[in-house]
Amino acid sequence: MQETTFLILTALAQGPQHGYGIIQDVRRISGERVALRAGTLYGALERLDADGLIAMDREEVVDGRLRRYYRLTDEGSARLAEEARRLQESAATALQRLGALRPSLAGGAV
Amino acid sequence: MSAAGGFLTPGAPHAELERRYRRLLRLYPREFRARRTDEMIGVLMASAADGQDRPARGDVGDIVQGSLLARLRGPRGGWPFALVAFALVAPLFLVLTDILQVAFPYSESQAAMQGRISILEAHGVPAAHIPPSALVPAHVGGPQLLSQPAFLILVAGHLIVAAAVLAGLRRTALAALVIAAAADYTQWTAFHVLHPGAGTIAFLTIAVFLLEAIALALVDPRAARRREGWQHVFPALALAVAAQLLALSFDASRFGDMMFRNGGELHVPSGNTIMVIGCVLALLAVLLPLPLGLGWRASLLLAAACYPLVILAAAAFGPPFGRLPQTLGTGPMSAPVAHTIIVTILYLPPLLVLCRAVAQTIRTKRHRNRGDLAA
Repeated sequence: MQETTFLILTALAQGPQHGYGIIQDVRRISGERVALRAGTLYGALERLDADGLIAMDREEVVDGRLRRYYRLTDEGSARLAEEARRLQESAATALQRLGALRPSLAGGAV
Repeated sequence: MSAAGGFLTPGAPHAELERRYRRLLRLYPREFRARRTDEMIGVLMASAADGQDRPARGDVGDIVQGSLLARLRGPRGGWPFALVAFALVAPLFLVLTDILQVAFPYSESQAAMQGRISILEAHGVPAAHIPPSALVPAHVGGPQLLSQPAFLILVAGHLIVAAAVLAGLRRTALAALVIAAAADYTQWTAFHVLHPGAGTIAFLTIAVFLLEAIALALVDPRAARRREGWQHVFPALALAVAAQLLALSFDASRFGDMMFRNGGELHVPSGNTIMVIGCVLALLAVLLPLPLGLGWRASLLLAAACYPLVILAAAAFGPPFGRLPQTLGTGPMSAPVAHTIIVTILYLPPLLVLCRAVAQTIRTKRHRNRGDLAA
């Protein structure tokens, strides 16, 4: 799973969000490291929607602008959980090995 | 970002920025724009700085890249949609091919015919075994086709398929397709290295019939026609002209120098040029779905359909097979074995693409049905 996909699914794990909300949340989750733009975001939303990982929750018109809210589907939740576990295991292995080599790099948090 | 960290209202100060963003979003395929433009404008305007009147450079690059990917990926629906796109292109291609065959006839030159007979005699074929039809110059296409019942049935079949597809009458389209395929087969049987005729295109469009029949059995292209407009006409036209040129180059390799009605003459070496032009045009037809936003899968299906045309024309001139007419029956390989190998080479790749499309379409339909039942 690409990092962008992982971050978008993570943003939606908290509850339904609209496009701009996802952009802000992804920026927050990634520690200001990933700044999604509209083209990238909607390309990813199209793909995730087509794959059945997200679905449209509702639409609103705010100040004359269309807001469309998206939510995680059951399949999306399962895929995100699976990916999170995989990343956790990989990170744990990396830290464990670093700890064996140089204890100062492991940081003690596994 | 806008002052409120939210959505800029579409007032006068931002009207110019919004207009520019909307113009930029036109890069996306029509189907994508219909669903996403308003939503994307909302996000782009919310991300805009106060007083900004031009799209941010980063947004421009991101939108250009996103629109290219959207066109490459094609509309939502993956293989099922690719089959829909193909189901719209194929009947038009077949009708246009019929028109081109009638409109642009050509025939074998007298000298080329004499040369062909000399080759047969040199291979020890007794004069009595040469069919009478092989003793006259080959005529391909032209108004004479309209006096052949099989061709008329073929044209009627193609027209009915094209009309029925647009009207959403899939069963009628399938029935007409079967009748047209039978007429096409009749023309195909006239395809023989010794017997000139209009068999080349008939032989080569078998893959199109197969793909179209499967596409119609699985998907309904009517809704897509309404959504996409008439843009599928362009790949169909390019493919039809490519088919005519490739058939001409192949016939030039079979028969030798070709004569045109207006007195022009095509010598065999020029057949290579015609073949290259035909291949380039076929490539263009195959790539056209990408800028049109029909996606790479539609491109692959079109490639599968025109692959036999390109490969046979190329094989006729190219080194692997040498000159095909001389290879068949007169080489060390028996004719049935040579035919089997050639037909396998011609139709196996389209069949593999077809199998992939069918498998994915059936899987998608099952998935959708399960979803409906669950709902």
